[in-house]
Amino acid sequence: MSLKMLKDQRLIYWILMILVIYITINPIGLPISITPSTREVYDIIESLPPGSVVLSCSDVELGTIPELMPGYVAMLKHCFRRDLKIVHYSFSSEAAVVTPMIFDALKDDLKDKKYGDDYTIFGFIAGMEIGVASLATDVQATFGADIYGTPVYNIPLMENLKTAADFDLVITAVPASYYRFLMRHWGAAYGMPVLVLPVAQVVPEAMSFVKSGDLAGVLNSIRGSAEYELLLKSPGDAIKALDIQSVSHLYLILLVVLCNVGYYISKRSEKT
Amino acid sequence: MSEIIKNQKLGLVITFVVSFLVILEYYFPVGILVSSVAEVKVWSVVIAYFMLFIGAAVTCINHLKTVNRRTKDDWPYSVYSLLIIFIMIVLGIGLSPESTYYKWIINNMYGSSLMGVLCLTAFYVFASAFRLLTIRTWESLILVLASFLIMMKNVPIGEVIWSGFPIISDWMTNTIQRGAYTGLIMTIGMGSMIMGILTIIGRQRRRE
Repeated sequence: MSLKMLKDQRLIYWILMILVIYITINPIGLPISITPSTREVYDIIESLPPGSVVLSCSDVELGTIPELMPGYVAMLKHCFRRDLKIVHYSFSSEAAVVTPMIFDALKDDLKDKKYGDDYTIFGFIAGMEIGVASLATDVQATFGADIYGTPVYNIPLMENLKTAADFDLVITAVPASYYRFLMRHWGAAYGMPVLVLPVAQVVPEAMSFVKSGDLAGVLNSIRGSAEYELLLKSPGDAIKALDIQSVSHLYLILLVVLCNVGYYISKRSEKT
Repeated sequence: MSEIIKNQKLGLVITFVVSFLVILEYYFPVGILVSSVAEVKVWSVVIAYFMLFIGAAVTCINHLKTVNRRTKDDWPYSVYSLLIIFIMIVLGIGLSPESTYYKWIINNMYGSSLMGVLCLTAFYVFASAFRLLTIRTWESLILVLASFLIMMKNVPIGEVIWSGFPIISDWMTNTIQRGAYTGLIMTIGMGSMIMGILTIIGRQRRRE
């Protein structure tokens, strides 16, 4: 091993990979405090009376599964534990793959639930914002049939659901600013509370809408998902992911410090 | 009439009428207006489904052209793309999207390769991030400090190191960041509104 290896960028990647693999196998279990934003989301779902109808709108894509799936599953788990009715659909074209994954993770909570009465799954609705707007004004015509081909008018849960006003809450997980569709057509038009689980880079923007009242609550990406799992007393992938995030962030800070020290040393030696 | 169609004025007329009705329905939700606009929205969803087919068809046509001409070196990838599209269409329509073979390809080929590519980008982002955070000016010092505080806020180890990190980061998020984002969102909103009005009245032209 020569000193030249230390200048190789691949060394950074190798160390990061080894750290991530090590922490995945041996999680540290750092304490996680609950932030007010997560508590708000939890309290909103907790305050709904049993039998309330929730629109679960998933835009979880394959690439965002590690970041969004744990928190979204936790929110749905909470809804099922509170005996809320769930109407699930997706405006992501990867719904065919991701939706079964979401409901596989909820297997235990669905044991005492009846499909069609307690929850129903519609597939992919095209059109992004057009689909959301159409759903708000005419739920039954927009859905048409569920993923098993059952016409919407034959599903008991959907009998009294005609427009957005017939729902009690909207929850969504988004990889970009797509929550705005629900905010505009469900939140602003019908006064529906909208809870959002966005990816980390969308959180600051989404938080602005919480302050203005356009959104009811925002979960702070993987951190919020881990806190939610703690509140539910149902630890999962989000809590494990936070340990990995802690270590990788510390590693990045160490590299930043080393990089800056190296930069100033080289600058000083150039001057002399 | 043919002149209206030829000059694409029909598209502008439809855009204006439909947009006007939708805006009117938003502010005056009365009887027939609500039901007609709801119907229009459902039609739009149907059109969106057709657009997916058109998108797939255009993709196939472009790949076929690339294979036919073989002017670019990556024409074998176009062959591969067409083969995969064909296989997935046959499996999806012939069997069903719930079939084992369809799901196997999606989960083990598409899903795995997509996640692999995203993980690779994570490494590159990591490597470029620590180079970006070099303190050369006062502005870069603020950037480094802000990044550090946000990183410490989002991970549990931040609170373990010092309990003050979340307090400072929350203040930064709730005052500075939120204020900046609110201003940005309002500006974007006004711009979008103007763009929408120009589109509705047919003044939004493509610049040649």
